[in-house]
Amino acid sequence: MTKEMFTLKSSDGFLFVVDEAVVHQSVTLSPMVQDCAGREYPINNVTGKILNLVVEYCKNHVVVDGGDSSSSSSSGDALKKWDDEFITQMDLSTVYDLIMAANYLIIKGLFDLACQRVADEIAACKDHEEIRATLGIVSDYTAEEEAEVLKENEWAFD
Amino acid sequence: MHKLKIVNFKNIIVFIKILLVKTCGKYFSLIFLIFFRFTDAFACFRLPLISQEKIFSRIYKIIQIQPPQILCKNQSGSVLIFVEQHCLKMFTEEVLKNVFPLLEGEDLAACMGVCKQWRHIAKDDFYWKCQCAKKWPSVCKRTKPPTGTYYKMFQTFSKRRLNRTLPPPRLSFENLEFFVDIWSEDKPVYSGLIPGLAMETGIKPLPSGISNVLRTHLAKPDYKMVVPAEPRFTVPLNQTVSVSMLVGRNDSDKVARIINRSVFEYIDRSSYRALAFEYLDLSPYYPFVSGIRAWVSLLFMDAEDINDGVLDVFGIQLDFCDVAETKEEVLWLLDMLDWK
Repeated sequence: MTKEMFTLKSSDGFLFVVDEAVVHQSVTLSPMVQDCAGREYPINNVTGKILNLVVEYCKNHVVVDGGDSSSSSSSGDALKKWDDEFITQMDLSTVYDLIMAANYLIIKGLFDLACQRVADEIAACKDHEEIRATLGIVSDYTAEEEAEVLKENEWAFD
Repeated sequence: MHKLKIVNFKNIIVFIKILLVKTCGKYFSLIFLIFFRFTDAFACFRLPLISQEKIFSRIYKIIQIQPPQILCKNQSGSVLIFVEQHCLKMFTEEVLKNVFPLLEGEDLAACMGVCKQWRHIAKDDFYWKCQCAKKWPSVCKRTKPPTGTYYKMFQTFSKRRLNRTLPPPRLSFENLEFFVDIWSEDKPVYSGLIPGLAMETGIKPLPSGISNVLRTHLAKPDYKMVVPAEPRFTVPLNQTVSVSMLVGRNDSDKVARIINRSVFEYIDRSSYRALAFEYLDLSPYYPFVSGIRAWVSLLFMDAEDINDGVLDVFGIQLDFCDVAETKEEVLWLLDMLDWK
């Protein structure tokens, strides 16, 4: 059984050679299975660094998702553990890029994983100022507007 | 060829970084202008074009945006660059819309304080419907939110607030007058029609001859209702002394009973007070509230007369110490009486 290999090219010119099972995980890329075998497929929105991570994720998920629905729960747990380590070791800037890439390539598992990481970061912050600091967001509120918003939401803090 | 100092270069980068972040990509024409100025600054250093491009690409790496499309060159030959809005590292709506449903209600509320864009997205009732559905799944059986918006529902009911503030009372002491009658063996020894405001004023000045205990008690700033006994009267200890008290309100011409007839059974010599109490009759609108007493105290002088068996009363105190400690609480309690 010959495995078809596909070449993905990142926006900054890095090439990744992957097999069909990996490509199938992306809803955007799946159609190219018919068209682009052997040719380079450019992915303009994703840099090499991020595409590398995407490919790594997909490769790992092929092992379990690859048709064997009766795979034991232990391999499911191992995969979950791998996912957790995978996403927590990244800095938030990379997670953000990963979300955008997974959104473009439509890889649901990766998208949900990365969004959950951001949600966990927000949940770990004790107030809006900490959220701003962690995610690097600059506030555009005036002092009065901010006081108003906090008053509106004082029910949440006690 | 003039070489740009590293220190100045870094400062400019920081400045541009801050500017770019603050503008949030909305006003890219402003960014365009900034770059225009920047390139002019280079032009005045007379760097060749190739060096300028190298510096720009280094800038982009530092502030981490996608390499921009070079569009045109200005008259001096420097390079003008348009930066596409979505290349900036701001959390786009799409990302937030997928992250917000994963948060708890309190975290979502915190997100509203982060910036205007976040607040605008987080305010959407959809996310609050998700929160309500997590907390009270039965809410989903309705098509519309039961309290206007799901946000309001979550705000109001997600946390149980145990200390509630009393709303402002409907009564005020200006509306009230107290009918106070004190009897000694069924003979009246004191009858007073006391306006509500007088109850608050207290006894000023404090007469001499009262004990220090009472003096301290009366001088304390905590809320109490005390009136001077005018005219002063004495009561013999061997007789049954009792009190009755009614209260009238002028806003609705009604009267309520505070004490029907209660005997001063307790004489506390250490605090120079004779005490009487009775359980209040509240309005039928408050059917489950009971066990609240009205206390009347006769305040008497510190004198040798006690040994003769006579109390020299100089003041009368009314309190509802079982439940009401402040003026607002007392007014609410009086409002709850059975006014007829």
